[in-house]
Amino acid sequence: MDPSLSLPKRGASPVDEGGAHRVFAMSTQEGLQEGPQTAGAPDATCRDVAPGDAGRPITRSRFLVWTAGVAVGVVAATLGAVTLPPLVAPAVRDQDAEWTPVGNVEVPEPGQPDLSAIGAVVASSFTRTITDAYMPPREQKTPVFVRNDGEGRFTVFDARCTHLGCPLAWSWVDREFLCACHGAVFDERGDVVEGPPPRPLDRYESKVEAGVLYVGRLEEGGS
Amino acid sequence: MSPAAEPSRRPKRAGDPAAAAVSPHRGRVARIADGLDERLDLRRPLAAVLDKPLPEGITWLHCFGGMTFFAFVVLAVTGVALAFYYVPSPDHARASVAWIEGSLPLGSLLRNLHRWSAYAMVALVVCHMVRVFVHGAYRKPRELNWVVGVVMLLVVLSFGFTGYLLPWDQKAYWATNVGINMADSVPLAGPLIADLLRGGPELGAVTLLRFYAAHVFVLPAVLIFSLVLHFAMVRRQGIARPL
Repeated sequence: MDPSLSLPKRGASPVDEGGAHRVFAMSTQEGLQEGPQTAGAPDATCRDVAPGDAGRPITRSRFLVWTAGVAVGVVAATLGAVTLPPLVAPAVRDQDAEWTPVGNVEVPEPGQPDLSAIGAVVASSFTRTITDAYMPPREQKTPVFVRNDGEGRFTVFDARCTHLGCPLAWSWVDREFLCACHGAVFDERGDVVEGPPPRPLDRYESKVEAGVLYVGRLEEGGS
Repeated sequence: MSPAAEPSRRPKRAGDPAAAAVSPHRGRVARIADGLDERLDLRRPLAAVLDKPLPEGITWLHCFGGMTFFAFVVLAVTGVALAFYYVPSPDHARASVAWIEGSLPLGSLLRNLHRWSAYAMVALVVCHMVRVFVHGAYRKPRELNWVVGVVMLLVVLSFGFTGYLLPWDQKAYWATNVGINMADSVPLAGPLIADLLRGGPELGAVTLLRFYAAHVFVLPAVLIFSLVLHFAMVRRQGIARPL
């Protein structure tokens, strides 16, 4: 056996004439000759031609190149199908929306704000157990503003400005929500009075059960 | 249509076969390919690679090297995806792996693809080496490629050793303990090697982090560099004629 660098001497190799690889499998000699001849008239040289395939016959090497291309495409698609869902799925999951107690409606527990005065806007909060991926579950306290609308109905505002998420303050004097970041002002119904916010305050869906106010999912303001 | 009225966005150069091939019959993709080829001259070098003739007598046994590379591609892709979620810290490593397995959509498939591809890669490397050895393909002038191959064998085994610790469970911890104690038994340099592997006298947080860094930064860089050398030499020298 000769372990040298010599290439096979078979004359049938279509790419080894003259020692140079002049012809690419995707543009074989037929393809190069085709141009001038097919400029105006139907292809006269290649008879077993599939129309729309650039007028070239399917040779063995073209078939193999396409097969290899398809195989690479299938492998790439499979790898993408396996890796993309795990990368995308956590980003598009739903928010936690268990019904969570805010406080008693009539008589507050010690340390809780009094929600009983009709028309009052009260700073309060609720606490949810957050499961953050692989981290141990932990309690997270979320501030809200609760407005007693009367007749046992409540509006629970998210305490963040809808402009860029800064925390809001409630002004008893003007009965307005104020944002310190960019001077936004919301009225007591959560509508924009002044400043850059694109929409009214976000609010939680809420319900009263057995004298306790619960909040659920956060809903976008103005929707 | 006179040549002057030809739309200018259709490239034409006198005597250029690629330009001559631009005919109304060619599809959109083919014309984009023509345009790229006209500017960057891609087809000739690509043809030199793709149209390389093979010697006679090539069999499926010659596929082990390529299959090893394929396993590496799968490992690289799934490994990058796993790196989005895995945490190389004793506090969270075990929990993050459990979360990937249990809560991440397709996470179990992702991790097991990585794991089984790793086993497959070691097995395929061995098959490839045996093939090259039996065919005598390591002999002159290809000794250097054999040497690069042996380096890559060690890199692949190091990938396995470092990756085995990352789940940070009992098996990972004690298997790594055993492996490091084996290094410890090397004459003279053993204790130093063991301390370097551990990053100290005890197997702990520093060990986990340096195994992770080796697994995802150092070893891939060494392997990719070696692969480029390996493939370039195969191209330069051609495939050895089989027995």
